[in-house]
Amino acid sequence: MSYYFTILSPTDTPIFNIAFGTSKGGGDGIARFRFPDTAQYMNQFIIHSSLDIVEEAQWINGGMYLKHIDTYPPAAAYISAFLTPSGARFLLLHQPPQLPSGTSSGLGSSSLLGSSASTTRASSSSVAANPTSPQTEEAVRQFMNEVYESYVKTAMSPFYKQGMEIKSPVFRTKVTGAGKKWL
Amino acid sequence: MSTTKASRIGEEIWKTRIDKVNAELVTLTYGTIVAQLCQDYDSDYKQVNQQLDKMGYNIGLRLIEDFLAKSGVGRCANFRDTADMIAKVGFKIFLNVAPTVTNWASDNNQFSLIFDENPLADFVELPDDGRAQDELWFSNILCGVLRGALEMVQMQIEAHFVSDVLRGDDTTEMRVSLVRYIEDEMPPEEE
Amino acid sequence: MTSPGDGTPVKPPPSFSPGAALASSKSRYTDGQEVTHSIDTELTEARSVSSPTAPLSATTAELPIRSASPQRSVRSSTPQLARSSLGSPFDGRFDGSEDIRSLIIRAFSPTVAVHASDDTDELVRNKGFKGGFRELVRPFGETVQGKVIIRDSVGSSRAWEDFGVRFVDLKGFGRSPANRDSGRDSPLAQTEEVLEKQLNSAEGPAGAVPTKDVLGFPATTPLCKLFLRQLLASTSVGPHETFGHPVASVITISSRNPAPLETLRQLYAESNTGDKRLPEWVNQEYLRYYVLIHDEERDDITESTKLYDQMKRHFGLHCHLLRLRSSQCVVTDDDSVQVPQCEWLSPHERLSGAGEAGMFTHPELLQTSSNAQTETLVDLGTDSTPYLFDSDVTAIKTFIRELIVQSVIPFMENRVAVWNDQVASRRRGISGRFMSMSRRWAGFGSSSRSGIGGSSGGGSGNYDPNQNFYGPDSPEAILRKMADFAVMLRDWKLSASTYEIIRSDFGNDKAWKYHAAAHEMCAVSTLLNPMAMSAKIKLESVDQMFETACYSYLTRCSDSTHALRCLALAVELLKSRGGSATESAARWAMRVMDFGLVGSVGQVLFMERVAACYASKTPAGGAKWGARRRKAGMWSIFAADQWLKLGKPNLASACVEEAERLYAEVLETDGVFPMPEMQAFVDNLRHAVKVEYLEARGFDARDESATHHPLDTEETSEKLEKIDKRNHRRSLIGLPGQLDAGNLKMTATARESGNSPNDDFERA
Repeated sequence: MSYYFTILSPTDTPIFNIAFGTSKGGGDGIARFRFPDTAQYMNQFIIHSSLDIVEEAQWINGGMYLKHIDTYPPAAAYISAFLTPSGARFLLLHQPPQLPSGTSSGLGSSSLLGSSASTTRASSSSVAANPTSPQTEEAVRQFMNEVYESYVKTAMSPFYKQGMEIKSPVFRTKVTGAGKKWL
Repeated sequence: MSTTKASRIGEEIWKTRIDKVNAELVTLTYGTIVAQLCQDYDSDYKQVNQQLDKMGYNIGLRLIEDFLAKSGVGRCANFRDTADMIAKVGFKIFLNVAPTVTNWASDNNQFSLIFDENPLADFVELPDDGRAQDELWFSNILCGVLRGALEMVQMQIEAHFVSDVLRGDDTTEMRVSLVRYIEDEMPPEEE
Repeated sequence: MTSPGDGTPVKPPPSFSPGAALASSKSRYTDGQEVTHSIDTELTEARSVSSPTAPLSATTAELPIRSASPQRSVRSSTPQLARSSLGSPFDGRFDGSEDIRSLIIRAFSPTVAVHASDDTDELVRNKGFKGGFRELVRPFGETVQGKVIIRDSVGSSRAWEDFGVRFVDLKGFGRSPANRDSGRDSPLAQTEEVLEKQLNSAEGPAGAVPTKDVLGFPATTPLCKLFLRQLLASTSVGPHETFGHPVASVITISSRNPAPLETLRQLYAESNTGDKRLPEWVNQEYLRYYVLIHDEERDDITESTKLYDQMKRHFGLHCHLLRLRSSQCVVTDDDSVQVPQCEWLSPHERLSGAGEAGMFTHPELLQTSSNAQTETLVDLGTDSTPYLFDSDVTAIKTFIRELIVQSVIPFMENRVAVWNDQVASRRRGISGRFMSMSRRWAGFGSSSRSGIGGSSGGGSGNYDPNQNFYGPDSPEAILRKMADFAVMLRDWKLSASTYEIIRSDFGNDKAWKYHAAAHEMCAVSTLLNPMAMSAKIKLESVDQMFETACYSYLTRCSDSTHALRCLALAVELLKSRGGSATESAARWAMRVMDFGLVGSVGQVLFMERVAACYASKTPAGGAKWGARRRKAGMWSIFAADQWLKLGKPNLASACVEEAERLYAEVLETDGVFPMPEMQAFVDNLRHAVKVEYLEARGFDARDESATHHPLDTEETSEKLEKIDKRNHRRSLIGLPGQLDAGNLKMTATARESGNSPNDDFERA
């Protein structure tokens, strides 16, 4: 699983970005997106487009953690969201690794019946492989909470201006740590 | 007076006679002042350090009265006693920390305070402009406080930070040196 | 994209020059409007046909037309008055989902077989119709004149404006190779080829301009409609659905026939036996309709009337006397009327047509893709465009209306009623369910079996697994036919409930193609039924049906044509439902791409569809949320990127423009994306589109200065400056760039001048 984590200010400005890979199941923590050439802007496009859903979901779901809210099927990208009360949005894009057999998307592929989500579900219920399983939802929740804690502290720094990009290496280390721990 | 005794006094006073305020409030207030200074002086951190020291000095001049009243401690026998009093009683009752006194110079006129924790610097991350890490002493106000307070009890000292975890150092260390005892002089004008 | 050379005014065919379109669109306005709109219109034309010569001043543009096609002056005065202009600002208004629904509804029109005697075909050939009687009536059958009133199964009537039938040749029926689903000749490959041809024609795609419907939602591009129409027209006739099976057969003789009654009998007999007999999976119980063509010029009407009376005595009411002139009509005749183009040409016909008539294909493509309106946009003044006398046209239209209103529809209504009573109600009742269950478990209940196909375990025994069809008399086949009739009669409530009854039966029999088709049509009927479904649960069941249909088509039958048709219908119908269905629609469109059912052009078209689906989702109530602007914008950007990669900067530019419009509502600052990489990508794309657009147009761009509007330059040049700073190819986007951008802008303005004075581009 590869991850792209973004914090957006209430005005949709990204204030923090990080890409990392899974550390579970022997993962080395390095992001390997399916389309590495375009991943940078694609991830941003996908995240940005999921704001449509976030905006809607935040009125329906009262909690801070909105779980998995959006999917971008062509890249098998899943978006989970977490809202801080102050209006910052934590968005986590996760992309399961391409299954060796599942590469062909052409005719007669066995993945026709299920949605793309169920395709990946077949392989494993582990956090690393299946973006919509309860285990993953829970892991993402833990990750989000831990990041939120760090985020609050970072936002308290007298030298941090609200809405500004978070450059703190401490914060980055903490997010990386949370990623390693939960994802 | 021994270090342990000083510690006990400090604990006692902290528990019984001190009104507590929210730590985040203090932290944020102080942090905001520093950040504002940095902005006002256009990130001239030497100036900021100086201003913090000056502010601390003015606090120290007043704070000593409150300290003496609350603690009811008598005159210190020597500078070593003073050091313990500062670390275990003074810092304890005002900031609820008890830095370690260490690194005494051979003439017993210089020591270091090692801060394991520093409530003023909670949450703080220095600006990453490439200079703050080398120039700004974020908690420099504490130096001024010591200087001001001790001056009121006839000790002219010099205090400065030599390291700070905020800068990425392993410890936060303040070096305090006794310049001289002030005899029969009028207290100076406030700076 | 076209090479710059293609754009020079000398290059034929002249009639495609924007001037032609201009002339026709002008004619739609009153004089006062004409003045104000002429430039805008011309620019719109320029854009829509993407002709490099477009922005030339009107006089220049008309030059080549005059020189190359002298007849134009005659023709452009009167007959074009009623013609719809291609991509005029007003065209887009009704280009919304209603239009697509109508297209889909008309795709499932009854089929009428034509069985003409040799003397009839000879008479018609003399009139200039090489394909005989069927070719003569085919274009007129696609739209029946006037309202057609249809009664549904519960007896309530509804009038339809857009009813039509397909005329097919009985001789060629079902003879086309059944499985053309693979290789270059497959309908899918041909559809793609048609699209590419369309794109590559010098006059370019009419599809360039994404039009907006009344509410300002992005509507279907003409190219997209062309694609859908092609797809719907390309599915071959098979046993599993009966839309292509004849509902009626028109048996025709002419007054020249020496032995008329014998010939009629013989023709009738031929259709029941011999090699003109329909394949055995076609129900032979269809309406026979007898037509006598009277040659107004050579024969005596009293003789013909006598014969006609005889015919009526012999064959009953289903007869018609069609009075035609036998000589060929030419354009210069006083009462000449151009024969409308066929709307429903299969990709195969389009491609072969291109081979025969050469460049003639292009206007045909242009016009059919531009509008449902079937009159041609341009004439070539050659024999390839047939004309008819006004009286002939009236006679044919009357004949077709009578055929449909008095015979075909009552026949179909009657069949539906009978089948509903005799077959469907039995299945609907308790005993029917019991039957169905007992059949499932005991293989019992094959009493009504037609005799075709041996009994096999598990299924009903009516299905012949070797030949893969049900006998036409089996209850399954009859129910399917009844449901199809209901669809053609637009009684979707009945059709949906009937498909519902049979769809699981087909699964039990492992008749997978039937299974797929029934699920597909069940979902389609449910979505077409305006009454049904508002609840979400229903939407899920529709999705499930499409899913099943698609799986059966693809995995069990390897029938990608039908699978694509099924998914395309899903996309369009769900989109037209609005609300949360649009998201479903978008998902299906993505599935199409994922399955690789379409070629490179199709891929981009579906990207545009995804964007359109998302764009059509509007906020709920007064809330600000609920729209999918960002998603729509993203897909438009991706589509633009793909168009550019395919070398179609004009289409890319339209997509970029659309994306800007969509993003305008969600970005804090116009055109400024919060995310840096996104911004960089969009900036590069904009720039690349601009550069390639200009390169493709060559030096002609410079001539635009004549029509250039100074006001628009200011705004756009700001943008250009921004780009200039970032790029070093200044020479390419210097002056012509500004002009070009200005031109684009004016196009946008012009397009919307019909309904809203506000230019979305400005907000973008």
